[in-house]
Amino acid sequence: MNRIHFENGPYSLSHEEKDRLLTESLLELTLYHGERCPEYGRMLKALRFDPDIVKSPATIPFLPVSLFKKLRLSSLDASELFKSVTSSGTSGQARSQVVLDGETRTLQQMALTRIGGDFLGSRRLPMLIIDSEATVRKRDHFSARTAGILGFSLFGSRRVFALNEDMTLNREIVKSFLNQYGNERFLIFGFTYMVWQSLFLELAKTGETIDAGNGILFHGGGWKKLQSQAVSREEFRRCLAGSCNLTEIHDYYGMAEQAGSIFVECAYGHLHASDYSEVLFRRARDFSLCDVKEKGIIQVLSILPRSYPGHSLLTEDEGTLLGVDDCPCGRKGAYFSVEGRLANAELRGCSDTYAAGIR
Amino acid sequence: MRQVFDKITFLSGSPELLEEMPSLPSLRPFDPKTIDFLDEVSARIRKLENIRSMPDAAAFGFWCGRSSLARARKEIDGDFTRSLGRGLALHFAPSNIPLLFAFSMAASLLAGCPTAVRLPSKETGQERVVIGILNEVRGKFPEYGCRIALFRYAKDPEITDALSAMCDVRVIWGGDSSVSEIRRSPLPPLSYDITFADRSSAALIESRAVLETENLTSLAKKFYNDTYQNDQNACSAPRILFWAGSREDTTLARERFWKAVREIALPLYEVPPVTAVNKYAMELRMAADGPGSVIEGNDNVVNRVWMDTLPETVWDYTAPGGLFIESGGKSPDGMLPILTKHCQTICCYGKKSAELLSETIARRGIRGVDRLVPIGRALDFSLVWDGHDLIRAMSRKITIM
Repeated sequence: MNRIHFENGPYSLSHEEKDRLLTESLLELTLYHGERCPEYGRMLKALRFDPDIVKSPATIPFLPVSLFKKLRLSSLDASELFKSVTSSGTSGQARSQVVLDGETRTLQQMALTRIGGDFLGSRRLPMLIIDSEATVRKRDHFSARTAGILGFSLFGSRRVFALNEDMTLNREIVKSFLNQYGNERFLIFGFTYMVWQSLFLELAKTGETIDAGNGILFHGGGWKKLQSQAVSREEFRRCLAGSCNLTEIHDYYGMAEQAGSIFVECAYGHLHASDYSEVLFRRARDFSLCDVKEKGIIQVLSILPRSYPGHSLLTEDEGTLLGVDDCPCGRKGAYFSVEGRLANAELRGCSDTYAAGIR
Repeated sequence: MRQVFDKITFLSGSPELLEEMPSLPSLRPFDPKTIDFLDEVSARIRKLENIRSMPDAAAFGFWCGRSSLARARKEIDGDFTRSLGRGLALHFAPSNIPLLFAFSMAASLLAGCPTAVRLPSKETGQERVVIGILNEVRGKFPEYGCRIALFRYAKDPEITDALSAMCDVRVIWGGDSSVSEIRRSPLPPLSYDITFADRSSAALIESRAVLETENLTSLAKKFYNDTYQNDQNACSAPRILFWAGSREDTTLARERFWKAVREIALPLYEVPPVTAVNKYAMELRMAADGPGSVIEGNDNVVNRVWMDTLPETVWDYTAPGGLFIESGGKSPDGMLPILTKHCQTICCYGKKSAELLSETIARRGIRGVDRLVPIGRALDFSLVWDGHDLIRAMSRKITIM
């Protein structure tokens, strides 16, 4: 835990330095989890993992993120108290199980504080949450949405939930929030499709506009639902600028299986890896690394997970590395874009004649 | 009943003709009228200019020709002079093996049954071509043509109920969930189902036989056709490979075999990213759940996992798109745990082991394995499928004392 370089800014390490620090931490984590998590240990063995070949983050073994839907992977002693977080998964699919203890939670919060602080400043801000309070009240059902709201609450001096329990917009609450805090900087947080569905579309119904010009919107959770409604990023931004006067908008890429070390979008529309994380892009054919600007399967690495072996994950998303250390926003490290989910494969072969679901 | 049929899209036949079908007379198995009809279909398919670009249509065209059918009849040899088709046969064809509907239909016609087939929702080019030809031949043999109806309909229990109520035999090609779902529609008391559930297949390879084969390219091509040709996702495509031989022979044989397969597969097979991730996840799950597996291979086209022994549960870890679970031993007996009801086909290379295995299966009364075929013939359609003798299963024999 003390190895983690929180003293640095979250985007301060240059490529070489970061590679060195991350390789060391990730290798240590690999060996640590290999010893403590029996399933992970067996996976390393089956892969014939050799610590001596680890020379960079790219040579750290990676687990498909879907494994967390099938296996409960824990590096904690059975006696240790823990609470497992259940990710929302994708709509209608199995949920992920992520085992968390106090230490890893603290690390996640510290990393998130540093990363978010880089965009929001160190002072806590009034926070308008585009969700219902009921979402965080249901503690038995700890979704990625809940985790996101609770995580970002670190930055809120006062939390106000903008939606009713049925996910409709509570206009009165929004108006009184803006009356009270709208003249200074404030934070708006929500899942991308909630912001679209329950804020923008609700306002659009009546043609109302609000002035959230001093607000900074953080939104995450993916574009899948909006893509299916053919809403592009540009249109999302344009519409929110139009109806809410919102211009400072940051998308972020993250997942419950690697909470804390999120990838935040800068003013130039680039997602950034922080000093505590790395992002790699792999080719389907042999998992070799893609070149810059070549689309590939996204691998995310994080030095935070100690209670479960989630420090190196192969996602089911595709994205593109845009550059390293030279984003015009000034942040060091890799910056990239996310293209969305990997397309479902239409396989030949015997399959269902009649049942609705795909097999 | 008519109104229900209006919701059906007919590709061959019509609602009116479908309604008449239960009252059509049955024919004897391999009736000359059936052979003439199918042979005409065969001739027209084989004459197509672009037939080379349609391997599935070509395979069907070849199979339903007069001489091929004579061979097929000989294989199931028997006297059918006192047999007659059961009556109206209703088929639910699988998606993704594009022309299986045609084979299922032909087998049913050969048994002597008027035949109605619900096609999978996804249309394919080759399917369109074959149905086009079928409709031409219907025009030439209008009286025989009435015995065929091909159609699609969106999943709708009301239609399935109506069709099931009028059929004498119902043929359901799986997925397990399709079988269960269609079975919810009741059949008349005398009627019955022939079902093809989810199955998987394996291969048995004699290490010596591979070492004694000078050029492995032809074997590798056949293996490719059995597996990658249909994304290794057909029931009969091997997903588990058992090597029979000494440790040294097996090590060497595997090296040579996979080198040859990779040479064929790498340039030909495009692995979708999601398939690559799924195969890798399955390899790791297998490792996580139990000791003794080793992940091999350098790419995501040919993925391999070696296991020292094969537990029965290994079927749960198979995945399509080029993931092969391997094991080996001196005798094929190491395969016994996986020869469950779930196991359909064993593709064999090397004469001795195949014979040994079939003897063992018979001696021990093993519940699995319906087919032992040479590598390269996993997907060949046969009138005996999944252990069902289709002609006998769709006909009845009249006894005279």
